[in-house]
Amino acid sequence: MDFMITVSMLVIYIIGLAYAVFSNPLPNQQFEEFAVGGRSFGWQFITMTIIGTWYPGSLMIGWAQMGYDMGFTSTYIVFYTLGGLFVFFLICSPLWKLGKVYNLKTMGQLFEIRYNSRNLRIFTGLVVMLVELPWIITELLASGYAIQAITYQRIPFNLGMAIIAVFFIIYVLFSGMRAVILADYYQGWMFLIGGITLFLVTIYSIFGGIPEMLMEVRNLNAELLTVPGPNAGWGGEVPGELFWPSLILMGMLGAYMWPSLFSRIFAAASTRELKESLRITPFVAPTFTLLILWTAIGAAARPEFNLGDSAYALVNMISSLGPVAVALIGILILAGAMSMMDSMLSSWAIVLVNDVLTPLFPNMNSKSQTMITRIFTVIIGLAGLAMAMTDLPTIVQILTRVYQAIVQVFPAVFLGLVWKRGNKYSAWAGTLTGLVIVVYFAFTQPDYVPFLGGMQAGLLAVAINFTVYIAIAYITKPEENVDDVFAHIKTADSELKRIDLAEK
Amino acid sequence: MKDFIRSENGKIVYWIIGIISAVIFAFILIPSLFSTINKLEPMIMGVPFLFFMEFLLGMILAAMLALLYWVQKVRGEL
Repeated sequence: MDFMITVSMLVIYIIGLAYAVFSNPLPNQQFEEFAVGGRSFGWQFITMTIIGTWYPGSLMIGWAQMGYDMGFTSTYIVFYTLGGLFVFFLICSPLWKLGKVYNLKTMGQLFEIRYNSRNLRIFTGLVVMLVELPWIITELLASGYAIQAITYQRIPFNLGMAIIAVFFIIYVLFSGMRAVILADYYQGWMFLIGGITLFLVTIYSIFGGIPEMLMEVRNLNAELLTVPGPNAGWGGEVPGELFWPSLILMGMLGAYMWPSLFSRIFAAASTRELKESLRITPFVAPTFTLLILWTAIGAAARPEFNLGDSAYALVNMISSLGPVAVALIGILILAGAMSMMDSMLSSWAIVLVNDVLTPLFPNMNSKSQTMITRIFTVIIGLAGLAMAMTDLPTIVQILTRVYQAIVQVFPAVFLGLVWKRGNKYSAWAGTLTGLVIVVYFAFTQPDYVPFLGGMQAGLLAVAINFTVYIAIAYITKPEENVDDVFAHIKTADSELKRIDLAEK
Repeated sequence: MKDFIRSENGKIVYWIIGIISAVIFAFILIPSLFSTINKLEPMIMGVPFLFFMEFLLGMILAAMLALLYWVQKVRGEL
């Protein structure tokens, strides 16, 4: 009976998702439509797509484990989400305007236009794609786990992953970014309604309320309720007082540098639609995160749910409420995993075609770009599945470092948008210096650097990256086309009105 | 209020939002300031002080972001 309930709920969820995606085909096969959805999405979609993509399935497994083991420190996500939205507010307007005027789809393309360097476009395209790669594997693992849980182990782990992978590959093939945004819109509502309800019901059913839950944690292990530091040590080895701020700063600066989120900026219908999402996202996203992570911290008060692996303590606790709860938490993990994987898959295929192949074969037409992007979608999706099925013990370790690497493109993006002086030499030098430092520390230190007060190496690297960028920019000449690029940002509004009139 | 925001002096609202946000981020990111809120006591509404402050500061930052959007909208700068 339990099996029938959980599987029925899963089937309803999948049918709803399929309907949302497949009832909205591409209006044409142009690359513009496939890559950025024709730049046509309103604020409701941008809001939900940010929420949908922001929360991976591993939030309820990997980060929940951090909440269980490290307590309050895990909630750094709340502040980096908000800080990331401030960064989004600063960069979204000039980025979107340049995107519209120059027909941009990716970060690599932005670099080519701004820094007048095709090689920098290819390099950036490859780097951001490789840096994001570990995510798809962890999300596939999360979806395999979710299917296994929902079906009470009747569908094996690898088969569960394969079913989900084939499903989202098919819908990305169907309509590219349009499918991704529609799917994420659906998943975003799943998070809001299903997620918030489920976590509140869990807290009130098991503990009787949030204060009661935190009091139980306090009685068992009060150290989980503060961040380790001079006044609140955990005893034994702690990362140091700069670990907490560096986690937040890395997240803030890197948040919108992921190709899967960066390209969303270009999918909006206008800068107004992008900024309208700020009416809702800053309130909803942190509240939902807090609910998940506070509940994960609460799970630490009930050691009976830790069945040998704290990563699943939160899921085990929620599952104890019965089959409906099992299905809901499984579907939430699936929703998080799929909304992240589809974004990545489509972004990578688009980046590969747009930033690597198109510069090498400039005569490729728009329909060929769409067709090759579809082929890459299948190849990358199946390659990710194959990697997830192999035993990769270092993948979680790699995942903790990727944020430190992705943030190294931030100085070139941000300074490139606000400072005319920056040029290709400063962008190359800053980015390469930052990446070399991150790689060096990745092989020589734990996730934090003890002799830097627990600071993550990525923060040190990005500070040096900024310094190198500025220094090189001062000793070399600005790009010849830089005045044109900045003039386009300034006069974009009138230019866009002219383009719209011409299109009509 | 809207007339003031639309005026040249209305730009001061950006400064106010910036300063409030910067002060909050300073309390979150600078260890010596963060240590003033990184504690269990006093419990507020039944939750530890740090948890209450996390929610409160988070909501103020969210309000600042929404206010930024609103001010830009009123000033016609979106």
